[in-house]
Amino acid sequence: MKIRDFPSTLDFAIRNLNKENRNDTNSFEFNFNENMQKAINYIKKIVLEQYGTLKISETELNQLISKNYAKIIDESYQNTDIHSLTMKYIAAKYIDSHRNEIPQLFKEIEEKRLIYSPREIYTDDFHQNILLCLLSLKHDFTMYTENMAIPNRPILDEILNFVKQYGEKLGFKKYCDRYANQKAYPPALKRACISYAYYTIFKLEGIDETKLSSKSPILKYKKRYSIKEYTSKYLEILEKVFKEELISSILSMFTQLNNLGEIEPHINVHNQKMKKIALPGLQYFSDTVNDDQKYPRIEKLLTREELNHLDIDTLLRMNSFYNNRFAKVIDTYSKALFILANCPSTTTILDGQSISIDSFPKDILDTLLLKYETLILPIKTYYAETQMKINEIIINQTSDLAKINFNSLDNGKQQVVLDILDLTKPIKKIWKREFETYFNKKLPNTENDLANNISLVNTLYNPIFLSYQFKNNALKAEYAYMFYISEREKSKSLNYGVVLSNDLKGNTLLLASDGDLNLPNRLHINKRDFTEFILAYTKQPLVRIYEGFDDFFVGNTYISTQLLLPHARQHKKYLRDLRNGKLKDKNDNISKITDSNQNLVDHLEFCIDSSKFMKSHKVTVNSVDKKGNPIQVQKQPIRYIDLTTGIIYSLTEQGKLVSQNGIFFGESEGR
Amino acid sequence: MNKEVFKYKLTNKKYNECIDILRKDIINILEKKIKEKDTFFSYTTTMDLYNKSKEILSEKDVKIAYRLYLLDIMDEIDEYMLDEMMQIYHELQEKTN
Repeated sequence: MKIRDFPSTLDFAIRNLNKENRNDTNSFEFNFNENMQKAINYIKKIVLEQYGTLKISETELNQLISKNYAKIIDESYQNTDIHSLTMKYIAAKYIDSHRNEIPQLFKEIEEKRLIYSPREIYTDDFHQNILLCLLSLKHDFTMYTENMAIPNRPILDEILNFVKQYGEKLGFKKYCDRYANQKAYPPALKRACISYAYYTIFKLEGIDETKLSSKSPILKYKKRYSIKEYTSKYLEILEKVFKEELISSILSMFTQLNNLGEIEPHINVHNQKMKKIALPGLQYFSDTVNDDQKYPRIEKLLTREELNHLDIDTLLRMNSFYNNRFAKVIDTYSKALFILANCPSTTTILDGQSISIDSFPKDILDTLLLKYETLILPIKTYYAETQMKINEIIINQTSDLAKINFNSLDNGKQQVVLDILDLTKPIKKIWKREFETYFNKKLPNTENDLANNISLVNTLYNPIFLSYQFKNNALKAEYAYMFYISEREKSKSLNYGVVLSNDLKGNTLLLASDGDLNLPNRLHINKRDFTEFILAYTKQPLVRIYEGFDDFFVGNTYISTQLLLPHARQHKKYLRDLRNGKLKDKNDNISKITDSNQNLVDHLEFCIDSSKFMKSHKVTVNSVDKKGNPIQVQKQPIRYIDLTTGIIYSLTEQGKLVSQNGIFFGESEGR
Repeated sequence: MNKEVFKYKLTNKKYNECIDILRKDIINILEKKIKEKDTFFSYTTTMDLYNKSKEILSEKDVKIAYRLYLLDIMDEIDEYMLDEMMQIYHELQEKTN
């Protein structure tokens, strides 16, 4: 592991904190009163639940903090890696659409497998079948290329090249000739490719029955149906499992956020904004907020029954949204808990004596935040490296588990057990005693032992790392699925993609998507990470552009997505009545469509019914009617941006991409 | 790399653009090295580059490809990224010369 020396790590930590707070001083903003109070209330709650009293010792308290964090880590594992499940689902859908061609292929490949040996001479037929089979598994396959190290890159090239010409059903021989080139693809590589193909196919088809539990529904269907029928049954089961996972994950995150008191403030902000922009009928109420029962009740909108009615893409959208909210909350709590753990009199605070900013002078607070941030940097690198090692083990199917231990969880998932010594040893070696000397001087009353501090920050950082990873994966899965739908179901009017904003010039992207929900899902993602994903998934850096982002600026109010919820019946009726001038309630006399909120109302109606237009974003195109006469029709534009160059393209009626004038970002000076 | 452009961007604190320039250059150098041994190779992602480099390149180059990929997946501040990129670029140049 590459560790920087202590002074430069400290320097980066300062820059990082300054950047977070958008200032150039060394005084770091941390909403002390609000965040600490939240953390203290939370701890009080768990202490009371555990001991029935707040009078506990420091040791008991510290144990409780770490134990509770372990609980959050487990909770994060419950969220499941939605990304791999999405890719599997897309693959199954893809296979299902090609199922007439598949049974014969599976049969042939199975026969070949029986006689397969490393010295096997590959025949053209065999290659063709492998290629076609892998083609069917394109989406599942790219999951591995995106997520993990891939030993079989040439095959991926073959598939993607082949896909280009698939419609013409040509090119088998040409590809196989190239594949037979010993120099380009040595036998070892071919073996890896083919064993990988088997692995993927058998996993998907369920041939490897030894790995299935006797109660597995897959086994039931496999016995009862032929392979052809099986693929569609498989899809049915997978969809059910997938939906169930998504719903459980959303509900578990929402419940946790609600327990932490993180939902209420968002409802208040949402309600205030709606009143401000003359759309008071779009408010919500909850057990704790707004007792006006004419508004939809949050708790009723987020139930298993309600969510069951939603499509997979809508659930994916909600999942990435709540993952992001969850990650942010955990991030704040971790900082607050670190400060508390470094506070010499935590138990006094818990004992009812109020906490105020005076208990922590600003310079002490700043130094504590700096200490936290300094330790986060090497831990981040360690986690990224470990993640990479795990990926390699998974893709190469190696038994080399050196230095990485897995712990089996009750839900059948594998949890990685990290050895804290792997982390502390190299840091201690490079930083020597500099860390302790620096912080002993600045924080004489707190414990500054390097090993103990690393151990604490590691515990606090683990759920943050996981939740952000889940959020990023969920967001990628959402995009991949939307991409799949837009490829397959061209008639559907979709609005998703990257937002053309100034963020795009930096290193983050804002992704947004509309759907069957109250507001769009708008989340940031690392630009380089997302570009890599798009390149692996679609093999070109083109990303769809989200239209109508500006609709959410009403006057000087930006309507952000405070809560992402299914459409409420009352809201739909309210918007309909508002549009038709039929609002009956006297209290609704402040509701009106104005110049400033008109685009927003249009956009919200589009979210409810995608056959409607966002009027501000329609374009007129030339087309022909049924009789062949030229007519002009109005359409929602479809545009793309090249993430590497910033060039914007629009999709023509003929399905061609035409570059528009101008580049959104990119190198201009001196080039 | 156009050093004048890079210098201009660096003095104007356009760190993100500096990172992009260095990143492209590092990728180009590694891609060129791989192509010397495998003419079929073409660059798609840094992860792919790292994997290919494991098969073909020297241990030092593999480490560079590894660090490049790590930087892509780590969400770091621009200053940190730039510093790391410059170190990688420097090591690569030293080796090439």
